[in-house]
Amino acid sequence: MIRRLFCYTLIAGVLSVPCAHGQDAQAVIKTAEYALGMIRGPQRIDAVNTLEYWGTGSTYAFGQAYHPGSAWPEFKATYHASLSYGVPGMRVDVTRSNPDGPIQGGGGLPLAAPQRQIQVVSGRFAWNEPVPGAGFIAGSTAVPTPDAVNDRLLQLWMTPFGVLKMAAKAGAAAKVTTEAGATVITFPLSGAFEGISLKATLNAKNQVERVEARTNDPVLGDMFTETTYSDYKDLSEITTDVPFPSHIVQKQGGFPVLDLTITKADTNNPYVVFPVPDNVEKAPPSGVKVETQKVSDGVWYLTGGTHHSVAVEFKDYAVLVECPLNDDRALAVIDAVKKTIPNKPIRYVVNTHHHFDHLGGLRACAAEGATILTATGNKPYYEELWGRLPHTMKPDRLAKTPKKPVIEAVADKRVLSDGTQTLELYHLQGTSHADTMLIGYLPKAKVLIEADVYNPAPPNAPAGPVVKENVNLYEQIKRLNLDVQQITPLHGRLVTIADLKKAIGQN
Amino acid sequence: MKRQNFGYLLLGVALCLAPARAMAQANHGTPRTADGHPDLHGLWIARAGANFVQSDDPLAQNLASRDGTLLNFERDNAMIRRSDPNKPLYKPEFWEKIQKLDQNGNSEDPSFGCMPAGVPRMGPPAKIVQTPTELVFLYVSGGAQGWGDTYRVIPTDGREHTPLDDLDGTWKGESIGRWEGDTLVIDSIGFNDTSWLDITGYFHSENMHVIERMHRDGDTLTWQATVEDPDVLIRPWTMNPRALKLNPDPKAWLMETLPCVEHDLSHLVTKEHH
Repeated sequence: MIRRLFCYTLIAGVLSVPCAHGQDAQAVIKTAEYALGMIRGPQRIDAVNTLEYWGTGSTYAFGQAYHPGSAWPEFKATYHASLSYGVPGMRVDVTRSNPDGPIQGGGGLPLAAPQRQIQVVSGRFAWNEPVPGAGFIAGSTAVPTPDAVNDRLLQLWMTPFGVLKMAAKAGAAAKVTTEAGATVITFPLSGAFEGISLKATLNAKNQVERVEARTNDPVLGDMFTETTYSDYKDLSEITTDVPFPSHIVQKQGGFPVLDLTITKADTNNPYVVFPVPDNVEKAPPSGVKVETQKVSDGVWYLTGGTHHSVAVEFKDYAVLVECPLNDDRALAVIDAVKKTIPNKPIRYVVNTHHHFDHLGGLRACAAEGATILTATGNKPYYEELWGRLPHTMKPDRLAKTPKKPVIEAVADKRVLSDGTQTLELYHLQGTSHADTMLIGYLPKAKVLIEADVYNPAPPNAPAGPVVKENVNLYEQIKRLNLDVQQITPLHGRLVTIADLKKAIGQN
Repeated sequence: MKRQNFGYLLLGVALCLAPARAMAQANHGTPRTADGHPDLHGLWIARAGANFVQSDDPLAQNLASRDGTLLNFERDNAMIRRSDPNKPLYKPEFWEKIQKLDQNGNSEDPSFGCMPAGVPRMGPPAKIVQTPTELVFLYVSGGAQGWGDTYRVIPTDGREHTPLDDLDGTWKGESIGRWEGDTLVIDSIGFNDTSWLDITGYFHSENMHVIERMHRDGDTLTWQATVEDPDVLIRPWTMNPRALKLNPDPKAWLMETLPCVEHDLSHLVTKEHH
């Protein structure tokens, strides 16, 4: 032990100096496990299998900034997480609100009332719950979210205890270095996380103070996630000698996504379980499905998922409004356009705004050779993102077929017309959702295309409160003097202008 | 080691002079009774369950706790006992209750107040007496088995359970045994709702149904219980198996446990407990 300490002392201050071979790395990991109170009893076993903690602070809507390139919008939050490492599982129960009034940006803002979100993962299943244990409580249903399994499990393994468990499991693949005097453990994950490495930095007490990972994101490419843990205390009601960080901050894409003050932590292995609801267990794996619905001559509504698109036929080419989510969705949409409008190239792709769920498939559409039309404020942002950020972890279509995207900025208005068809694009004023929002209008079909500022509820849903964004959309339609009869929202369903008027109380 | 083997040899020779049940044992197989069932008769010494992980840490060679304090020894044991991932799945409406019962175990756990452990918390017996029509299980108290030596008489004569409505709920319930091949299956109903399934606040209802399975393989007896309680559990819970070794000492006997008298609860100042 003394020799090891000497080794660390000797190299303190030297960046990334390899110190220990595999066996020593495991000794460092063990030391950290002791520092976190994980190793217990005369058997010296890792006894921390479940955890529960509560806190308050802020959550942030990743990828939903009002201005392109600015910080993610903030929600005030109460936070309750339950974790299980033995059978990997996690339930995060967040109630978020914006008590200080309207905030600009997406992610559900502004909230009319506090909003509870419960996200669960257990083994190879993930789902959302309206109440804890939904699916096992009469009248409650869990919503399967199979695509979220890996992201949620990664959060579990990025906790201080989780990262040490995985580091121990990595065996000889775990390496120890020092960076700026701090001990750093780096190791690759395996299985579903193949290609992802975790890096844990220890503080002077050998507690985990930072965990870093790079994962694939459709917009940010090899995205950097960093979680810092500080101010460790025994926060249990029953003393356990398990120190827990009383401050947790996580950043993604350079901005905070979580900033919590932990007020209580039960590390006495609380009763934490994640029974998998039957409908979750039997849910089919998510797949990309595109359904094509003709709206008018030369206009098709491309649905089938959470985010829709619209295809417009011109004399010699097609225009696609929105390449959302990711490569898979965008490529499926492109394929649907080619089948619906055969033998005509997709010359233009309209991007409604810069929020990541609407931007994630744009690279695939750029790789297709289409010219991207987006709001003026987005052009430098996209060019900077795509020029700077590598996509090596999961190369997308554009990374595989390098091509310089052609982006044309739309200021207040842009019109595409060839005599047979006309598509007018307008910068939507007055919205708090995104300052780069475009809407589309097809005068021939009298169809409006919009994203996020009016998401119609199902036909028989009870009327909700009037939403300011809906009102603004209607006012902008009037200001622009658009003769809208139908609306193709990029979330929701095909509706008429009467539906919008009804939603804002103007029957 | 040699002396121990010699002892076993002597024991085997001695038992060869006894009835048929010992003949099979002398052949190092599972002895059988005259009616062909495995012979469960004997004094069984419980040992730690399958989840107990041995460490190669030299400190594990003794019972030293962190900092050598009794407090840490207890604290660590509390952590380890609760780290078992095999948990009964309670309905969501009981999740908070389980946590509160566990956290307040000093006052809520019936065993802390000298009450019986009950079935199945009392685990496998220390001694079994077997006849063609019944088994007698004898229990001595251990730390987790409640307080007070006790017994169970389990008929294996093919009778049916008394209708549940006619049973008064008790700590041990009504147990009926039967043989499924070489496995003794004990089916129990008619419980009170006072006992717990384990130290961690695992309560149950009066409608609990417990199925214990015991299988002898040579000198090892394996016991495992499954708890069905649709009133509170999402699905049946199968407890971790426990393996017991036959005590080879013909002079071995069951030590009497001192009576349990509760003195400590009023002096506890924290919620810590093992």
